[in-house]
Amino acid sequence: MTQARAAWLALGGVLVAAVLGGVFALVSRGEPYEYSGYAIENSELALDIQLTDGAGEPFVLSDRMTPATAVYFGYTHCPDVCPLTMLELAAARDALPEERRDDLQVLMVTVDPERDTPEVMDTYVSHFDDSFIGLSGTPDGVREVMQEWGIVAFREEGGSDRSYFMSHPSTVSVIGADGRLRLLIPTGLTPEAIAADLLQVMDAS
Amino acid sequence: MRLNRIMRAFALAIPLLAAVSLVACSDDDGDATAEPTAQPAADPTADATTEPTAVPTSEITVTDAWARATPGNPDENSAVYMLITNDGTADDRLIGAAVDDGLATTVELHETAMEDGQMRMRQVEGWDVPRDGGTLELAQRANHVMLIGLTKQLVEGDTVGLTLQFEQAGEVRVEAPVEQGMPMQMDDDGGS
Repeated sequence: MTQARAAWLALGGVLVAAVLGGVFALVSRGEPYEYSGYAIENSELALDIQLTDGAGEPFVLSDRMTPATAVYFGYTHCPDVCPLTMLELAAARDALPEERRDDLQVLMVTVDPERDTPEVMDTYVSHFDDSFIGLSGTPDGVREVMQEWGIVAFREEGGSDRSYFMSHPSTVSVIGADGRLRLLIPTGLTPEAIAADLLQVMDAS
Repeated sequence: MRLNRIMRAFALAIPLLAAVSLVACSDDDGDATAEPTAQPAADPTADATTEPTAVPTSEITVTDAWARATPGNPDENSAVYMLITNDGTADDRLIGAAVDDGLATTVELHETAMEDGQMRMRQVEGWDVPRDGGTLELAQRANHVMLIGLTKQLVEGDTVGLTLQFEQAGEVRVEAPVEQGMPMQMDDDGGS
C-alpha cells in the first residue's frame, strides 16, 4: 500500500516536473514579455453571471467579450483608491493607440449593491470615462460573481447604516478575448505600463 | 515618486527656513500659516544666541492642498490631500478637521492601507508633524482628510474651505481647490 502510494507520488512528481519544464521551455523560447502587473496563467472564469448595467439592462459578460476586459471591484462611497484606480484606467485607455481603444472595455462592479444602484454606478464611472461600464445587481447576483471569481470584499466595522466603508481587492482583473483571466493590475502603475500590459493581453488571446 | 516627494519637501523646507530667520510671519503667498496664540510672539530683533530662553513653538504651513471632484451622486464622499510642514521648534500633531458651510455631514482623518491584497480604509486619531521642517503628506492611496456625506457635488473650479485642528498650532485654515486628480505619471513633474 505504502509502496504503491510512493510510486504514485513519484509519478506525480515527474508529471509536475515535466509540465513545469514544458512551461519553462515555452516561456524561455524567445524574449518573453515582462508584465508590469501580475501575469496569471490562464485561469478560467465564470462569465455567464448576470449583472445589471447603467441603463438597468441585464449584462452578461460572455455576450460582451472584447480583446481585453478590465474589471474592477469597488464601491462609489470609496473616496480615495477607487477614484484613483478609475483615473488610472482612464489614463491607460488614453495611452492606447487610438485604433485599439475600443478593444478594451472597462467594467466596475460594485461590492456594495445596497447603496450602488445601476444609476449610481452609471453616474460614477461616466465621471472618469464615457466608455466605462458600471455594473450593479441584486446582492445575491453580486455575491455570486465575487464567489466565482474569488473576490473578497467585506464591510468594515464602524460607521453607520448610511455611512460605512468596504474592504475590496486592490487589483484590477484583466480578461482576454477567450474569457480567461490573464492579468492582475495593482494600483500605482503608470498609464503607459498599464496600456502596454493591456496590449499584450489583446494580442495574446 | 516617493523620492520625488521627499525632494519636493526639502525644496519647500529650505526657503521656508530661510524666510523664518528673516521675518516672524510673512503670509502673502496664499499658503496657510498659523502662529500659535498661546505662546508669546518671538521678538524678531532678538539675537539668535538667546535661543535657550525661547519657548518651543509649532509653525504649520500647508501647501499643495486639493479636494477630489465627485461624480454627482447623492450622499457622496470625497478626500482632501495636502502637504503639511512644521518649521517651528515644537512637535505638533494634526488631530481633526472641519469643513465650511455644512459641506459634509462628517469629516474624519483616514488612512488607506493594503492588507493581504485588500484595500482597506480606517479612521485614525491623528498624525504627527515633527518640528524643524518635519512634514506630513496627505496623498492618494494613503492618508487623507475624508469628507463624508457631501451636501453638494464637488466640481473642478470650486474651493473647499476647511479648518485643520493641531495640538500645538490650534486652528489652521486651508483653501483646497477641487481637482479631478491625476494618476501617477512617468515624468512626475510635481503634479498632484
